[in-house]
Amino acid sequence: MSIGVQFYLTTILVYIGVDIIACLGLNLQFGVAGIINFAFIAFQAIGAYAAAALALGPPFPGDFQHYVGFGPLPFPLPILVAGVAGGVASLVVGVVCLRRLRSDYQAMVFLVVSLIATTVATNTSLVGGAAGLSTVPKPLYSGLGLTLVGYQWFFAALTGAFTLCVWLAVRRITNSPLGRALRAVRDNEDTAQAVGKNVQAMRLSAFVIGGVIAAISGAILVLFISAWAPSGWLYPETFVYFTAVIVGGSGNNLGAAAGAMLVPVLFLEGARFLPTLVNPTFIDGMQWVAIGALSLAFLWFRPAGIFPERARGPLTDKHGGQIERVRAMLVKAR
Amino acid sequence: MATPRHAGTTGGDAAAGLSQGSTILATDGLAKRFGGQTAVDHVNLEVTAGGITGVIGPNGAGKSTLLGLVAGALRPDSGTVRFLGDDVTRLPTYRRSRLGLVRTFQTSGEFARMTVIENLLVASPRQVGETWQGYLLGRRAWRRQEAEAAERARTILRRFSMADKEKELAGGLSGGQKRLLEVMRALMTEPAMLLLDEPMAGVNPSLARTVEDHLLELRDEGLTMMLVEHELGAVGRLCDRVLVMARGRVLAEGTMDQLQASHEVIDAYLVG
Amino acid sequence: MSQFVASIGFGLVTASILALAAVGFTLQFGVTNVLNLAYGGVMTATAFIAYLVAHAGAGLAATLAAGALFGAAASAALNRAVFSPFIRRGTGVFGMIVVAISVSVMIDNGLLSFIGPSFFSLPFSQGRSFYLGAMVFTSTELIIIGLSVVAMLALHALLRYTRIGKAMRATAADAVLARGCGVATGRVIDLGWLISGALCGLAGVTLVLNLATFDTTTGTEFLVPIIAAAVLGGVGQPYGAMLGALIVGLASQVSTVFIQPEYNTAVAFVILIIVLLVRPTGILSEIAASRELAA
Repeated sequence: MSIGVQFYLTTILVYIGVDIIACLGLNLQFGVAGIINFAFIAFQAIGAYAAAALALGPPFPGDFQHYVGFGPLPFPLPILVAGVAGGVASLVVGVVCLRRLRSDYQAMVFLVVSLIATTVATNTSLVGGAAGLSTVPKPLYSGLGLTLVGYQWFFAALTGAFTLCVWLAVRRITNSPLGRALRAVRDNEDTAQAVGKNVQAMRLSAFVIGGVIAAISGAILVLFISAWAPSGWLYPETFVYFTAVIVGGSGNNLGAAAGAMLVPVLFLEGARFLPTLVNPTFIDGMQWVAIGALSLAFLWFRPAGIFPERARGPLTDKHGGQIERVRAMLVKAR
Repeated sequence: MATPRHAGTTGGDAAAGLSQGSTILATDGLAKRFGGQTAVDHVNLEVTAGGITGVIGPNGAGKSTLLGLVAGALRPDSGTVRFLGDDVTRLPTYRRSRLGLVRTFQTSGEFARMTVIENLLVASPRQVGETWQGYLLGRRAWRRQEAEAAERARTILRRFSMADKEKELAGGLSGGQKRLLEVMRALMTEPAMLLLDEPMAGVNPSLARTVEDHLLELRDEGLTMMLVEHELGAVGRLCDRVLVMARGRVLAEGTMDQLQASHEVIDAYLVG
Repeated sequence: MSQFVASIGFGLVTASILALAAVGFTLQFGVTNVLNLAYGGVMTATAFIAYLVAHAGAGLAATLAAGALFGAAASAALNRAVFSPFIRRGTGVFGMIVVAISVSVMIDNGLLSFIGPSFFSLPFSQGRSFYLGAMVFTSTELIIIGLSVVAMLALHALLRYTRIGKAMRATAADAVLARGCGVATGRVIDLGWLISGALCGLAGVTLVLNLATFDTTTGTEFLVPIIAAAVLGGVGQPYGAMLGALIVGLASQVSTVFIQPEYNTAVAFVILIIVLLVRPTGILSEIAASRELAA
């Protein structure tokens, strides 16, 4: 395999991993708990900024970047602290916004949160302003002394490890009574209350965990690409993840992972292979239009997604209660 | 005499010491206004353990509002609600449910995207597997509870002749089946008292009879119930004691026969 | 002090633009129960139509008219082609909001694809300046304020005194009941989108008239104060949106006296948060409350 191909392959693998992690987090919030978090990308961004700032350390006098930084901290602290930052931010936003609001009203509020986050990031020097942060050092790069390609593979493996951890952690939620209770809250809040579930607390926990996962995905990505700017996390990015989860199949982790591989990676990266027919801005913009159309198409024809949520019985039954024959009720949504 | 325990009927620890005749639910000066309208006007009532209490009255009398206040779905403007001796006025619905005061819903309250048996399992109380500690400890911590809950759920399903529907998605059930699911799910919570919101509404007569029979069985097993209902025939057959509400107040109480003879009550229904 | 008074002047201009926008947005919700997140996108599209029309030689009045017409047509088409079919299919509010944002992304990026990321401006001069105490208004700004006031009065007259206006109010209050009473809800909805679309169009044109430059993101960025104003006034209630627009518009400009100007959208955001914490259904809350937007 030529070096070029290896570079490309490892890059794709990292992106797949990051997107799977993000989609797992979004699926927990949206597919399992029923929260339409249109500000999701902002939490990924918080994770990225936190990890970058901690990997960079504080700006030195005369630095071209203006931001708030600490450390620099050694790997894996930037990623872990970034996760915590995502969790804290989710807690704050969640406490204010996750009140008993109708799901679409709440979604609209989250959209506003996302737009404001972009404004604040662009106009303040908290995280480097419009230029964002760059020259973020890659973790363990000097320590390992690998070749450039070797490091790429190392990072891809690292991403894979994180992806596996998140997968196991999330799967444990969905395959437990806790996951079932969250789905009950999603399906009918009032009834969930009537059977003793603390709806507010459960929603908030799912939201916070989702935020932690989003932040981790951002942290991993920024340590790979070494830069992060507001133009890279505008509100449509959240929408890509939503499309991924809807297309893949909301409410289940396999669907989220499949969607992550199909939509952000296939759709967006795949366009790279298209010859530059017209100017690149056209291709760029049309990618998004295609994503929007894809989302509408699935919402119309197959709202349950490619891998619909499986029906379940008692978790102590075989297969964790999952019923083999896929009974996909067309998810008409509340 | 303590109320007999039965899988899925009587309440948990709270009802253990409950004896027939003691007050299980009491409201004192309960009031609720919506805008300018008084929906519930200083209602004092007491429900003793065991037996079925009916609440009837013309439209707009405040019956559903009263139920909502007792269940915790609405917050009163004034007054208190006491359940099993504790003041629950400030408690949200889910806390009251955990104490054993459980309600059913008039319009479909099922978890549509979950199977019938999941609908029941999720109602099982005090599940360790639903806590974050349970999550961290893993399957071992909740496996046994889950198996026991599954057993209980299947028993209830068999009792209501819906065992074959176990794996159906609840959203796909017929109206009548959903109604039965309401009651079954409420039973899974091991309630001490059940608040039923128009259980017969829109149900065909033969299914209504089935529901009635089940409710009477539960009453015989010692479960206390309060039901809001329009179908006076059912009320007559089910309820030991009936409260008549009109314009937010309790107008009269007694047995169905006594009330049907009362002029006041008849007037209330005609005038509304 | 004079800075403060001057900012009130600017606030009135912002409030005027915001009123056109917020009332349109809230009408769409009132009549179809949809929170149209693509509203900003339609405003942007209208702005570009206005750009083309103006650069083709049309005067201000013609440009505004073109904007209103395009906005009306585009919004009504959007409802007919996308929202209504999904609603008829039984898509719940959960699904509709994802539909709305899909459309928003498609419009915004469709525009970006064809137009590119550059900045544009309308070729109209701001005109003479008029002084009112410490406040200064250009003639364009006075036209915007005047247009807004006229539009609000016309809308008020429509809602209060015409049959279609009453039908719209009935549909907003209780669509099922309205249909039961013989209100041709289908036609009312179409008209509702035409009227609100015209307002959207006017808002789009006046917005970019008042800005030095605009690009394909301008409309969606303006969604923040629009949503804040609509929510503050009580979503679904046009008079509430007018009130909300006044408050948000004034607040965002007056605040620049005290804090940095880049933050004036943040002011709208803060207002939104406060409303959610204190009274999520807004000031005139009947419609929002009846739709159970907040418990």
